[in-house]
Amino acid sequence: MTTAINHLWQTLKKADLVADVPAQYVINSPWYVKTLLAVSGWLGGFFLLGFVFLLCLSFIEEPSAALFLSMPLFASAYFILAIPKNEFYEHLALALSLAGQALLLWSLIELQFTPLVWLMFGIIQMVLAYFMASFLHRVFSIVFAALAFEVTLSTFGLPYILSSLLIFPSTWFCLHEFSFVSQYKRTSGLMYGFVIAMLLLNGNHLFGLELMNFISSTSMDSVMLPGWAADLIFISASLYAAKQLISVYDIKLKSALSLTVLLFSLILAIATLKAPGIMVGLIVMFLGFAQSNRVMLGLGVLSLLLYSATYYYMLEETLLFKSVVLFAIAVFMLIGRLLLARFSPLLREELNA
Amino acid sequence: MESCRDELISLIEHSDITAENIDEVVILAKIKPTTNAWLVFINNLFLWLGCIALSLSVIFFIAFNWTKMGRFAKFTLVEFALILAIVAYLKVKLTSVASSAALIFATFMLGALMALFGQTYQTGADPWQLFFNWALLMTPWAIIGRFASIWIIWLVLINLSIALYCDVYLNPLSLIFASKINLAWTFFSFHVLSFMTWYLLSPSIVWMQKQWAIRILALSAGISITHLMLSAIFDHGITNSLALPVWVMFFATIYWLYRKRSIDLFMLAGACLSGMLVTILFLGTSVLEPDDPGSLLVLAMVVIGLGVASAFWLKKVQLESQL
Repeated sequence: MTTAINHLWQTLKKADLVADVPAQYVINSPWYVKTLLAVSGWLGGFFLLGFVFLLCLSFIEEPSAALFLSMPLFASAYFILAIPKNEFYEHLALALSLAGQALLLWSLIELQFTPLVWLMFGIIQMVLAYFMASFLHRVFSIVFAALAFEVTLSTFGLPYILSSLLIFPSTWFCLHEFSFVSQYKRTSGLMYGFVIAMLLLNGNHLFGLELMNFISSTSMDSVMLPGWAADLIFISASLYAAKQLISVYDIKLKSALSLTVLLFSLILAIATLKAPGIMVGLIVMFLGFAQSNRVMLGLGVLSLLLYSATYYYMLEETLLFKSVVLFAIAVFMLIGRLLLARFSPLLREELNA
Repeated sequence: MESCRDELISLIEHSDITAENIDEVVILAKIKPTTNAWLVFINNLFLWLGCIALSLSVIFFIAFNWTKMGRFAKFTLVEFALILAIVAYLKVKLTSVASSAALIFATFMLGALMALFGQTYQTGADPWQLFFNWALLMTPWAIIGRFASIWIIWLVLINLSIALYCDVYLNPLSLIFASKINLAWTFFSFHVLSFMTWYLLSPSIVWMQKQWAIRILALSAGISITHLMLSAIFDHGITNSLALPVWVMFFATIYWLYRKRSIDLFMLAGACLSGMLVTILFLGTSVLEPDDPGSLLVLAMVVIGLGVASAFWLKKVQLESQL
């Protein structure tokens, strides 16, 4: 047992919150080791897919056969992941599942289930995220599901909604991370999946996700949501994040502090309507800080830096408009800081009350 | 952040914490930051975000080149912002976050001023000169500022200057290397030089001891040499390329610095990733047949095996470092 865990265990033992005998703990890998494993899982999946493809070339050319072949790949991945912790098997399962997903998507497209293909793929990813007992698999599945649903919504003439809607589950999962102790492994995978998907969709110009609009070029436009409705969802989601943060600290909703935080969030959400990546990056930073989650905080900082650096290249608005948006944010932030310095003794009293 | 978050997660994953006790455990593990920590966080966040947004706002405005605003007004705007930043730097406590933010803002304004000068007087200078002169003129601020971020900006500007210079002229290393790989070797040389300088100076200079800064420099050098190595394998020139011995030497040095002398899992994980990519590409292009299903299965097994072996070794090192 490491010194840090031992220290926490002793503290909890004193408070009679843990058993008498400490277990032999396995230390969690840091994010960069997990990233290394994810890359090997991805590459492994790619080569396995190539192997299956070349081996059953004539068989796979038939979409229904490819669909049929993806099922045993999913089943093997599921049963391998059910085996108690083993890194090798976990990544073999991830590779098998990714190969299965590629086959499944190809067969769905070939079977011409358009426009439901992306909806079906998204639903399958959600099911996989729930059942596959792997942190990385859950993160991948949630991100894939979000991308698939975004294409589906774009096809139906409802783009730019999911990016705002994802703020709701991201906030909830982050702030209730420790609420379901027995389900922690499941909820943490979902949490990171939702946050990464939210950052990707809100910075879609940055990650080239406009490509998805080409995929959904057969837009049905059956429902056309007015522009203000998407804005309203974004503002509501931002206020929800602020409200959840307040409620975690048991601060009364009608108190001056709560109202100030909500007002601040409202103004900032309005100011960043045309630059949602800034607001979302800030939300992730606040959520990360609230839970002492350095990885989440780092994701927020990184997304903010990348978004700001590439905001210049967004073609929807002129540079003059973008300059005004940034100026408004800057003035708001700097005035907010001055006010914070002025009222921080009062804030301390209120928060400590 | 002085919480025991990672340790708490380990306890939860071993089912040592019950759902009834979780609220108390979260408090004892110091997951929720204190009021003071929140105030410091918000204060710093507002300051940095405000400064970066303001500087980008000015740069975007200049780039828009609004014809309704005269050149005198534009110069006044940028120069006023620059002077304001310097005055703010002189007014606040020198080692504070506010002084660093003011200096970064001044650095961005310097770039905006130089771009405006070039835009207004059409000097005919090459683009690399803008970034090089920007880096040159901000050097005194970087020296007196004594914080990592401003030096990283300085290094980014020099990198940009090198890239743009090589776009126009043959680079200084063109006499030694074939023209196709010139830029990559120039980048690698610069990144290694930056990394080694930082590494050697950091033990005696406190502000250089930020872990993230040296990691960025090592990452840049590692990416450069891995890129050179992968290019050599692609071109089937690995045996007569300088990339192989330099790649081996670089990662042997990383191993010695961050496994033997001290331990940094980030650096070791980066080295493992580079090794994995190089091995796979070498096997895929030089040893195995890409059209053969058996070869792809072997590659899949090798890549998963290497990933797991790396994780296993890194976990062992991590355990060793935490005991």
